[in-house]
Amino acid sequence: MSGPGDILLSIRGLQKAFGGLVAVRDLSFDIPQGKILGLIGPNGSGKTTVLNLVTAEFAPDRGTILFKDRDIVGAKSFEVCRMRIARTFQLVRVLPHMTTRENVMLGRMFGSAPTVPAHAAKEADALLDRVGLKPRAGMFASQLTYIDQKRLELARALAAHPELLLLDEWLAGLNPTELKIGIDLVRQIGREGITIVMIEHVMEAIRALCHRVVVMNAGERIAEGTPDSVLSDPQVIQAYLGGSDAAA
Amino acid sequence: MDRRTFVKGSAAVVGAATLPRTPAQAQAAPDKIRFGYAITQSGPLGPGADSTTVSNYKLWNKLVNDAGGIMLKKFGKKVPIEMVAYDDQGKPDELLKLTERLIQQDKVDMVLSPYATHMNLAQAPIINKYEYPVIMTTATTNKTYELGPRWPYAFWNIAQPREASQPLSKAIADLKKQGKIKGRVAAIYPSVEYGVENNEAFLEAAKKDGLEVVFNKSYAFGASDLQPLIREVMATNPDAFLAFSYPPDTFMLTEQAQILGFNPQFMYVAIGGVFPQYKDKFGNKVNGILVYGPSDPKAPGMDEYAKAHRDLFKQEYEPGGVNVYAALQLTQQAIETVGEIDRKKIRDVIANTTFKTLWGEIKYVKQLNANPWAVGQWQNGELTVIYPADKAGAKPLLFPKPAWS
Amino acid sequence: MILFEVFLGGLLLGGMYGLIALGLNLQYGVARILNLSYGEFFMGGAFTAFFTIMLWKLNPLLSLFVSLPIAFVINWLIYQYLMIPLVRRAADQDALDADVVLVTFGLFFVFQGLALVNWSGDLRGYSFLSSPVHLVGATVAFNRLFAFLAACALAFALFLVLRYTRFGTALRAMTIDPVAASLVGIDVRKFSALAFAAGGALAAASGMLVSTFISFSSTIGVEYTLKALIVVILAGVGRVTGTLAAGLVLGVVESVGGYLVDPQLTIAINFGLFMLVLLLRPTGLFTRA
Repeated sequence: MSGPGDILLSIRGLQKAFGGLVAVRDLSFDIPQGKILGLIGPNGSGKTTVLNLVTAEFAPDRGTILFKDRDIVGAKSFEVCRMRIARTFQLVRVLPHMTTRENVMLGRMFGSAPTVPAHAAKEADALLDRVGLKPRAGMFASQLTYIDQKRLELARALAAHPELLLLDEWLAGLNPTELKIGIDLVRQIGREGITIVMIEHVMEAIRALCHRVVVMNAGERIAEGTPDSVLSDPQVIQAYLGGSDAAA
Repeated sequence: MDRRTFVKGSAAVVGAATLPRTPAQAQAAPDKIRFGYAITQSGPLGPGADSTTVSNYKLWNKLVNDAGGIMLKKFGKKVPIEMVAYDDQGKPDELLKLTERLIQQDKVDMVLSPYATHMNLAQAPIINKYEYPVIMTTATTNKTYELGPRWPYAFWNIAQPREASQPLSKAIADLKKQGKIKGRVAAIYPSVEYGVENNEAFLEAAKKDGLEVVFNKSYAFGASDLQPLIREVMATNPDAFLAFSYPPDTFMLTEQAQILGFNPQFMYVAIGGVFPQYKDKFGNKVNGILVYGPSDPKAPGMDEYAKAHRDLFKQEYEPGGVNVYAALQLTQQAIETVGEIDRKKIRDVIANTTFKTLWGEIKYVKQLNANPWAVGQWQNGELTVIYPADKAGAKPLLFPKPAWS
Repeated sequence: MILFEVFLGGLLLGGMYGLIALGLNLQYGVARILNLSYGEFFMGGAFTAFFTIMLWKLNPLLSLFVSLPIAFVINWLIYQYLMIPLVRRAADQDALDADVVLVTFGLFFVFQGLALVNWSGDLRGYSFLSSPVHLVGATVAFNRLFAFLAACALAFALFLVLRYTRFGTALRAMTIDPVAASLVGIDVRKFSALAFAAGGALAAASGMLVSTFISFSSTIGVEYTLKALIVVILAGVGRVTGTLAAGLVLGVVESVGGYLVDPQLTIAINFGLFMLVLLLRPTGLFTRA
């Protein structure tokens, strides 16, 4: 069991191209245990691809991903989930024909400590309460609003008892009140010892939550440091102002 | 040379030319008689073709050769036979192509019948054109009445719709005359050509015989449940029940009639009623049921035939195939009568001779079998031949059909 | 009164339709494999039952002890070693369907060919529970009633498994979205293999039950794959719990329709309903479209 200060996840020389398009180029950075790491950059800089590589949605062309000192490249996505790595999605991916509760139960039942539906249901309800979805536990996930579906995804991810939580623009599209609630929730989760990597465009959240930030552009890491330092880095500002620059 | 020598020499040559030829100088016998057939060996009709027809071709091939072959008296010797076979895949145009091939390229001596009514009909004009006599053994359709006289080289062996249904109508009329039944007839049939034609032929005969047809409906071929229809039949209170059915329906309606307790005193099912599997399924409940196209298991030679079939195929013979074997028997007899492979002469012999075969007596009138076995009945767990009643081997009708126990 | 009996008969017939389709909905709906050799296992179940009663003189239900495990194992092997390679390399469901159709069609030929060689093409049938049962003034065949009850029991059991067990929940998730399912830790391949195997076993079970009242031969496989597919599409691909209901609807409409209109039309009505549903509600009667 890793302790605070250890490196939980280490990305080394990661490379991924889709056809002629290089999405991630020789990328390396570490994620320390117990901290919240921000991953930012213009659209198309490869951030989501990094998450997808970690959760083994596809395999990298080169490089290693060390999770607790074990290279997980080559593992299947369901195996990664069982290693207690959970995530949410930019485009919400709930199961529409199952209830809110059942969606969360899935996270619990098939994660690292598999259990039966009856047991999972209890935990699911507790988690739903935590994210504010308790009144809608019996509704079909397809009937939830977009924001509620995002909350559902978070509850589902938490149900898997993750050590590492990957959030892909989870705080996007929220009004100020919702944003505050969301930020508080993420902070709470971080305080429970769960290591978090969050891809965000909402800089307020980055400043409020992240201990460290990694900046990507065109598949490469261009800066790393505290939120304040990277957000005032001229290179970073240039990358954002230069508009979306999906590497050709 | 001088004149005397020339005359003597010429006389000697002329004399030699007129001497009777010795056997050693006779025209050589063929070393094989080749029979060709194109038949369905794949697809849904394949299994039926195999158990009814192909197995008989193979059995006959073996038994004839075991006996040394067919006697060609022109050459004074028996000549073994050989088969050339093709798969028509159930497609009529494939059958036509293959038939042409057998005749033109393989140059077989004789052609044997394909399988199923529409295939028999398809091949008939071709073998007729090339003047190959063929006995068609699996066609039953009204078309033969018109085509039989038209094609001298195609012979139709089994009971056609009229021959199949007239005896039924007559039997019911007789029973009615004897006061044994009221003569209320219910008939059902699948809505395919066979069912429609047989039903029509029966209705014609019933009209002439003055029978009362109280119920007459068709059902979808391949139906999964005939109980509603049988209920409707029962509601009209018939004492004679006829079903011009195909194997799956034959089995199903028999079971469902039993379930409903429907006990007509006179009951007929068509195709499949002769199958050993029909008896296997229903046991003694088959007794009294009349069926289409029987063969007589007690006919002379049948024991040997049954044993030979069992030995070769490890399976019981299919009664519907006995007519196929009989056709082969009479073909052999015709060839032996002619003494050589002269197809025109063979055709004439087939057309004008009464043959004794495993399937009883066979005589063709305008190429149609004059009185094939049309209706049989299960009696005491055995298949018996009933109609034509005047044909050698026919047994009397068992009436009434015993109630399902 | 006849109408009521016809309706009842239609329910029983519908139970049969639902029964034969349950397994295919597991294979196609859950494991996403349109198995054209499905009906061959139905046929195998029928033959095993036939030999059990006719050759060994035992109760044909005992044949399930043989046919269920064999069908399960063979289907599992088919999925593991023939289907997984196809799943791996297919770019999308359409490409997978095309490959699967070819391979399972080949399997159909192999299995049917083996059956023809060993068991010939002869029609088979046996009598089991072929006695009448009188219910509320109507008569039904005991064997059909038995198959209907078995269908209900199986459908209910499947419902319980899907709703209340871990395995069943995984199957439901996979049916909805296999990628999302794997992202919550479901080993989609392992469960697909099990679902596919279970589907094959259900095919054999339905073959055994149906063989008690319908005659069959080595070549009936295709016909029953087609019947099952119609019911699956009618219910909605993946709607395992709706399969029985769809079968019942089909059976009742066919029987009552045929009785009221014309017995010639029973099969036409069957296809007619199918086409109507395809036109009006293509995802199936029981999908939450």
